[in-house]
Amino acid sequence: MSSSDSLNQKTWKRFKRNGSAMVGLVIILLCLILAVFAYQIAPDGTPDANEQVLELETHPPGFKTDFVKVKRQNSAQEKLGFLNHFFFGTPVNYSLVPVVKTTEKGDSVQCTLYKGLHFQGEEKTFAKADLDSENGLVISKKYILGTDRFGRDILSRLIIGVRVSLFVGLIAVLISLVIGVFLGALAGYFRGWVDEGIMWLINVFWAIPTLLLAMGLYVGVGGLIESKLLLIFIAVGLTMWVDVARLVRGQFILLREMEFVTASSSLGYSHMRTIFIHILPNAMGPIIVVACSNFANAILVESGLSFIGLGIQPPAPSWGGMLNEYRDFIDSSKAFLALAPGLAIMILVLAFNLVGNGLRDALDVKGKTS
Amino acid sequence: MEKKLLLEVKNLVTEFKTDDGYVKAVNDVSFTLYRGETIGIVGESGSGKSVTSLSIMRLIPNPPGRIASGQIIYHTKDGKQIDLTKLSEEDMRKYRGNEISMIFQEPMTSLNPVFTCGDQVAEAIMLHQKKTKKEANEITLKMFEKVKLPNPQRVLDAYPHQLSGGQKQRVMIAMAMSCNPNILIADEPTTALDVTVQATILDLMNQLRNEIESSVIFITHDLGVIAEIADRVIVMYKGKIVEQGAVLDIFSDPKHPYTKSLLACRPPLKIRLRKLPTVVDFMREENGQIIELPTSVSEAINAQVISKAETDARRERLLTGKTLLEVKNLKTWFPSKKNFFGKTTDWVKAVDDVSFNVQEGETLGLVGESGCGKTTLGRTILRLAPAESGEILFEGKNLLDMNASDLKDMRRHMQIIFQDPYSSLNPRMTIGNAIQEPMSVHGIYENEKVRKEKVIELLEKVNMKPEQYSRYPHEFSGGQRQRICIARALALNPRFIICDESVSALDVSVQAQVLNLLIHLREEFKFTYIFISHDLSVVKFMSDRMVVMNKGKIEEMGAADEIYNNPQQDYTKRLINAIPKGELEHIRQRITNLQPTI
Repeated sequence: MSSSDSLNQKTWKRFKRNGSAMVGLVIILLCLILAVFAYQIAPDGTPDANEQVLELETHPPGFKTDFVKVKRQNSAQEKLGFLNHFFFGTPVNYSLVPVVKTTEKGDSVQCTLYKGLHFQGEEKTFAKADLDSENGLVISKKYILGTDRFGRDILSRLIIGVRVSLFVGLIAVLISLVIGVFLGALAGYFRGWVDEGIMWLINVFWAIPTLLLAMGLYVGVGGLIESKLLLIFIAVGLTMWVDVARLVRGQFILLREMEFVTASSSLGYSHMRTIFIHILPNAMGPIIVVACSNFANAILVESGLSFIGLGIQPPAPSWGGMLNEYRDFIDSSKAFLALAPGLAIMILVLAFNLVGNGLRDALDVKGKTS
Repeated sequence: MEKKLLLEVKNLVTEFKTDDGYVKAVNDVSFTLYRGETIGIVGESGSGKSVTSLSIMRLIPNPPGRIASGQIIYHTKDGKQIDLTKLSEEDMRKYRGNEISMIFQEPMTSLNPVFTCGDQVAEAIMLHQKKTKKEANEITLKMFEKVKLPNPQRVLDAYPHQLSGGQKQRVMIAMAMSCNPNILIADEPTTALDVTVQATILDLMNQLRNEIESSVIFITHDLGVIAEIADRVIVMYKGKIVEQGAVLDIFSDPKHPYTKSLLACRPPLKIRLRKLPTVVDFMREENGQIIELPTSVSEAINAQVISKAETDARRERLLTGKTLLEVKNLKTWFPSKKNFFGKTTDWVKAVDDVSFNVQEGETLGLVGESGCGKTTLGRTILRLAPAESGEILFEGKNLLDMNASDLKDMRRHMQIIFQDPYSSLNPRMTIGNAIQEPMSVHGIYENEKVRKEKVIELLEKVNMKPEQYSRYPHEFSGGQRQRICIARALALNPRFIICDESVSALDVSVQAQVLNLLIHLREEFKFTYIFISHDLSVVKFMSDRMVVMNKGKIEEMGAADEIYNNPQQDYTKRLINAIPKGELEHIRQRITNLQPTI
């Protein structure tokens, strides 16, 4: 009892000792950094990592080739601010043309074009004026995780796709926490008819599968709501609050019998003060844990929705969407197309579950009064 | 008859791993136990008495605990000597339950709720004595008769929740005794029980030890209980044995100052004291060294006696003064049965037509067994439980008619201090904030800075340190937490305080300190108390007048000394007889009664 650390510091100390939970936490932090600096880190910094090179469709990981950059016609670029570039990528005004060999001749360049793994290259001559020469006439690119069927860099799309996963997780968890904690607290604290009403609502929502609710929303209000992302948030949040509410209700039923709750009513505190300042902090441990596992769930549900085509709309990359696009390749030699997003989902979900378990152990103060 | 050795504990050290390294819970403890003998181990919580007994059973959870050194030598019937600390887990299991068995403090949780009591006892018998189910059931029935359970046949098929606390403890004793163990360890077996139930359990244990040849190690924080049961006493303090000897010697001539303080701090029954002597009257601690003060037990007690004339004068003054609280025909009923339409058809009458007055500045004691409605009565007065009918007049205003905002104002004047110091503070809030919050909510004092100063003042009033302001409840002991609760109740400057079993969960020595604090505050702030407890000796010490409650009704009401010296009702007499006396005469008599059997 020598130190008088706050409870939070103690929790953090215990959490740090848990190796696997720390690994999970590091993974999540890395993903956060990736999400914020996505367009700076990704090799393909164009919006939605949508730089298509059709000749390079479904090339294996580690594939490397040279390019010349052919200026686009009518490339009237509108000027965008720095922040816009930072968060939404920089459009380019050229298209990439993969080449095997280049020879410079005066103000023109003679190239042997690359037409795919199994095709003969054909010769073509470009005028230098038609080429973009900012970083040299010929640039070289390596596709670490290979390319998809439009010849886009899979690594870049994965990196930018992490945003969707984290964002959906975050918003859906927030929605579910706000609704779930509020209703669960009321039900557990007041009991009686309030409890019965809220339990009825919980049971009704519990019976609706998330995917079904999402499809229902799609059909029902899909026309009214512009953003498909918003639709996903609502669908996921609306089903997940049930878990939170049930848990919070259970905690409140236990805690309301504690004498410090009776004490706060004898001291003349209002119901809301008792609920939110006195009881809720004591239920925080289990709530954080369920929020973590809900986060993981939300990522899975988003992937599922994208998988059946109700998720993020192309060309915006999302992990579930990528998995969906390449499910046909799973049993072919090009399985890497589906493996990469699949593994990414698995690792992130695992990370959240590890952190959740670690928090549960760290927050359990029973018998650890020292 | 020659005394035969049964158990020798030699230089036992048991330690627990914490964040700051190993802490010795039991530090170099040695004692012996003879056949047929009962020894009492006494000490406050944290003194290592339970850890000692768990070490003998080898039930120290590992990790974090371990027996670091020392020997526990068990002498079997055929003369072999076995060091229990060296046995493998599997070998040890043969001794547990069979040779050494244990009764725990909490009868509510030590029986498995999903099996019948009969099954649980029979299981132990089948396991250790290799009996068939039928034989085991017969033995169980006999054991239930032996521990004087009412209607043993019914208890056989009863689930734990169908029995009262005392009955469950009897089942536990039956289970522990079922294999005729040589050593029975009883770890605070009566602490969680009412005084009346405690008396019957102690009676039972005394009878049983005469019938079977078991030795008993009886652990408690209450020397009064020890006096009822033990032959020899071991006094433990901070992991060490500070004194041991025959029970009569310890009570007539205690050597160690800590033993003296334990003897002096029990509320006496025959005389009225200004305050209870505590540890600080007998010793000081400097750098871990105990410095003895030259006070004897009787000196310490005699210095505090209040004369009869003084008591009478105080009563006279109180009775002619103002009436602060009037309770008239109060009923608190809880619905127990409802019909199909949700209409209540039967009630539990927790408080049934109760009327009494409380004078300003008075302390009214409320005493009765658990379930008699005293706690519900206290909560109904504060409107924490709904009243069915009746009137509660506080300074002439009926509390039951008040709306929410009037009631909130009223809460400033009346406060409650709860029983359980562990659950009555919010574990996620620093104690400073917990005390400051009521001031902020009710808008007392100009700003947070002044309030904080007031909180620190209050902390000092209850003998806590200002630097403990930003600590959390789990860093404090039970006694300290109870003092924090008192400070929180004082935050609103109330005039009327209900103490609901406020010292029942505390050790006797800590109990004395908290009682002294309550009395000191009563004098300083002119408080009016309702003091609720199941322990008549504590209520008598605290109160001017006393109300005895039974089954929701008032049995008897009058001056505290009057009721104790001259009880009118059988129920009151029963309560008084149940109190462990801890007096020399009493012990001498008990030991003489025992002589023929030894």
